[in-house]
Amino acid sequence: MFDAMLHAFGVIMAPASMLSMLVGTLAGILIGALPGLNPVMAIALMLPLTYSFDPLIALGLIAGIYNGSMYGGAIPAILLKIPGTPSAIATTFDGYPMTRKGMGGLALKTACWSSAVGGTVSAIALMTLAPPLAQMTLAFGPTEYFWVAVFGLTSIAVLVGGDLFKGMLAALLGILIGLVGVDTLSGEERFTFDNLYLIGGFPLMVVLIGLYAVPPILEMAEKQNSAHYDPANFRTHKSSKALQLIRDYWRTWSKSSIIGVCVGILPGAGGNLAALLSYNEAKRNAKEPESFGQGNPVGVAAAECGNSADNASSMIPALTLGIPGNLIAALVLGALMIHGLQPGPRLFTDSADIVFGFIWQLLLTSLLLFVLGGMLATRLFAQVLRLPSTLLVPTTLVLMSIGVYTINGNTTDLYVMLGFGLIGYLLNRMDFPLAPIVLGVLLGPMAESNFRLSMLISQNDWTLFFTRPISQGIIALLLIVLGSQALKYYRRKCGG
Amino acid sequence: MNYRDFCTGVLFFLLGIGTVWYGKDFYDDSAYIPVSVGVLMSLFALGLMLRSLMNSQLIQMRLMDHPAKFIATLTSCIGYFVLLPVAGFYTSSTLFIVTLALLIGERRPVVILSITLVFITALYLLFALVLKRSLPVEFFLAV
Amino acid sequence: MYTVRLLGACALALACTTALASNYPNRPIEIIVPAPAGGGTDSVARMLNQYLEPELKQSAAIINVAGGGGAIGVNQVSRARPDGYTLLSTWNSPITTVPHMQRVQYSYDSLTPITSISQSAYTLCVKPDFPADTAEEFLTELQNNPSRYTYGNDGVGGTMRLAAERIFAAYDIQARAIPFGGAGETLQNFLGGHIDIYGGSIPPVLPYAQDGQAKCLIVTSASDNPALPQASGLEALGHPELETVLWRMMLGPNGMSEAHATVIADAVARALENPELLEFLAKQGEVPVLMRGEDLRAALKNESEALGELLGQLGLKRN
Repeated sequence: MFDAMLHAFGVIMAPASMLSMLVGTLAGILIGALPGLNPVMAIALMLPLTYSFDPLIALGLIAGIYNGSMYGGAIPAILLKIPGTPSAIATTFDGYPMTRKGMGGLALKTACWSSAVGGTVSAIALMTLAPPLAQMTLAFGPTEYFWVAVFGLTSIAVLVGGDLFKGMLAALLGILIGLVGVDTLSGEERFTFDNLYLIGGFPLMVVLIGLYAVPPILEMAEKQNSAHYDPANFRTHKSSKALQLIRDYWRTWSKSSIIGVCVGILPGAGGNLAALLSYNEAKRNAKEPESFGQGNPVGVAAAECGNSADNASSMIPALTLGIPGNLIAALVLGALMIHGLQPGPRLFTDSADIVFGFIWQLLLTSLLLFVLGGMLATRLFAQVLRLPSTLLVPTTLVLMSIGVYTINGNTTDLYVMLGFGLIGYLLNRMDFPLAPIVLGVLLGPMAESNFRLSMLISQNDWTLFFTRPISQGIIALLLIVLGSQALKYYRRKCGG
Repeated sequence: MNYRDFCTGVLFFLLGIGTVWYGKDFYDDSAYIPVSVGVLMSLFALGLMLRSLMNSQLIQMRLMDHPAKFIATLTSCIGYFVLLPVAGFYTSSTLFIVTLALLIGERRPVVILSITLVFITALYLLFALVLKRSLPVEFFLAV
Repeated sequence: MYTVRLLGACALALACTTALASNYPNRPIEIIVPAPAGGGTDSVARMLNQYLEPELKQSAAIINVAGGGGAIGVNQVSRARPDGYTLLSTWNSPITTVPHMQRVQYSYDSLTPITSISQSAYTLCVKPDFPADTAEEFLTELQNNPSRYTYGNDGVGGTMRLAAERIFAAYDIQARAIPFGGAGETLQNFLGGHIDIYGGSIPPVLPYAQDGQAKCLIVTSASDNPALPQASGLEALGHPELETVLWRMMLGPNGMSEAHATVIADAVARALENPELLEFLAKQGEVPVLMRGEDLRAALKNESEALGELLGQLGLKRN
């Protein structure tokens, strides 16, 4: 296997493959940085153009776009509070307050380094641990998925901040949004009001762009016309020296990387969840949880490292088992099929050069971020902020519209995006936290359908939820997290 | 008393009740979660309402900073979405950018036109020439 | 007034020239695939498209319009202008199954049949330690243990489930259907041992069958499938009438001219003579099937009626 890895490294060092990685990463940062455009859409649009090329050129582009966009999404999240991709939602929590405090340069550098670290760890996990991690994927049945979803939902307790009522209402609203559409288990149409559009449910991407990217734009439109560019924001601070960054973040990075890799190997979860769970863990574990949301750089590090660590590991079930865990993995498998490769357990042996080559590309494009990210973000993309806000608003709205339109080719999605934007704007104004909504949308349906699948399989024997070893492990973890949270609260009440 | 919280509480309460009322007829086990979500939502909404009633200080916060600009942005968006399939992507986007920029206070024609031109050209290069993704066809090209 | 009339005449003349089959197609075609990018339907459509473009001497763009079990994309085509520049490349379920389950604004006879492309079967597979090695033993084992075994499938009212239920009904078998989101999810739960029987399309499970990690015992087509030698087709079991397969086709909006349909159908037929394309299809366990015009419409009608009846018996029919 080691020989195959080395040989593949030689293959991808060919100029064409190197160029594709470079172009892919640059394109990825750009796509991520433009709100509305996202990696899934970019890869889906670009892939057919590469069918006549060598597969490793196509895969180099995919690897670059995938890793680059995870960092790119952080740029508008930090500078404008607009998540460039849905995975960057958690980055806005602390990234934007940092910019407000004049620490934009540090936030961008933190995001860039954290993305690169997360992506690198994830690619190394894919390279060395793919077979055992794939066995983990298989060991997770509906019961385990149910507990994972419950675990994620309890983290809402950390995210709600001060106001329990509003936090819970936001989470429940999210679950309700996720429930709309045909129920896959019974075929029942829920909350569709006989509307053809609603049968398939609200498209996740459209909901997330609407709720998180539209409200900041609406707020910007109301403000006095001004350019947002402030050179003081991008001056290098003492605290952003490389060694200092590593010293500050290594704990957060290691935890977020593990969380990202674990979320990645579970088909269907995704980068949003990895970022939110990493952010939560960082906040839960911090000495001063109150400083999160006020511009704590650790929050940015956790979110960006988490969403990038999801990337390569989400390819593990796809490459080792032939089971695509997300849309990008599905596109990769589709591309391999068109190039005459058979996805499945023999891919690693039958097409070692291509599979290991792709893994190397995922690793190298993450490392490329160290070089490209800092330079590009600060010198080039920040220039967009020189645009007067009166033009930034309409052009961003056009980008979001084109992004949403190209997902499904459906103009109804545009109105839905605007509708959710309005809801997000109003909830913001009423001091509702928006983070629980995204967890509700992602995890509510996941918990429900896996609960019911488990009951179907076990013929309504609920003891199944407590007797399987992995389930017990997740429950134990859940209790530890909740217990420590309660203890902390208790101590603070008594001590303070 | 906090009117804002009280009103949102009422809205969420109604949404919760509606969810229960609509969800109770769902088939068998597909009804459990919708009904529980509805019940929980109305309970938390009641909590919010009670708390806002007990709150003694009057909290004032404007819903919008600048209603005129807010409404202008929303209406322009809707106009844009209506126009999009009819007039085509590039035409309606150009119109939308120029109109909205004027409505929210841009008064320098050179700035508006130059930025719009550069932006639309870049989009055209990207989508029509590189990605070859078809967008709603321009009205003057449709047969 | 005069200008208006002149404009009208020009428009008419333009319309006439475009309607002439001789220069059709003279601008790029949009092919709508009602499934997300990356899946089986999408891959076949894109692969075929590569060989179709040179035949048509025009570029053709694949547009994925996913959602509603395919209904959203089909609906979009059914409302498109029937000028031959918006086509549908679909598998059978959105046309013959989904309209029984959901309200849709189309039916098999409100779309113009162009040509079928290829067909593949669904398969039922078990783990190597399952006490059966042939289709007959498998069915007997299931008959003897009612409601004991679980089989994963592509969702309530998915064509895969219907294919299995037709066979089970004929043999008086009760097996517990576990609806997953798609073949990938079913495979994951099958390999992890969370369910007993894999039910789904052939390509995902094929490498496992070849490695001996799965025993595929039944294919739902009448004939056997060369890719799965251990599996029996329904003809071999004596029930060719139970055949329920996955097949792909191209359709157009209602009212598309027959001349245009013929141009496309001819191009598809010529594209399917390419050995590379045939090899690609064979790897997916698919064989080319070319059926046109009224034959295609009749096939859709028969399947739609048969599946509607079955859904009624299963208590799943809504429309």
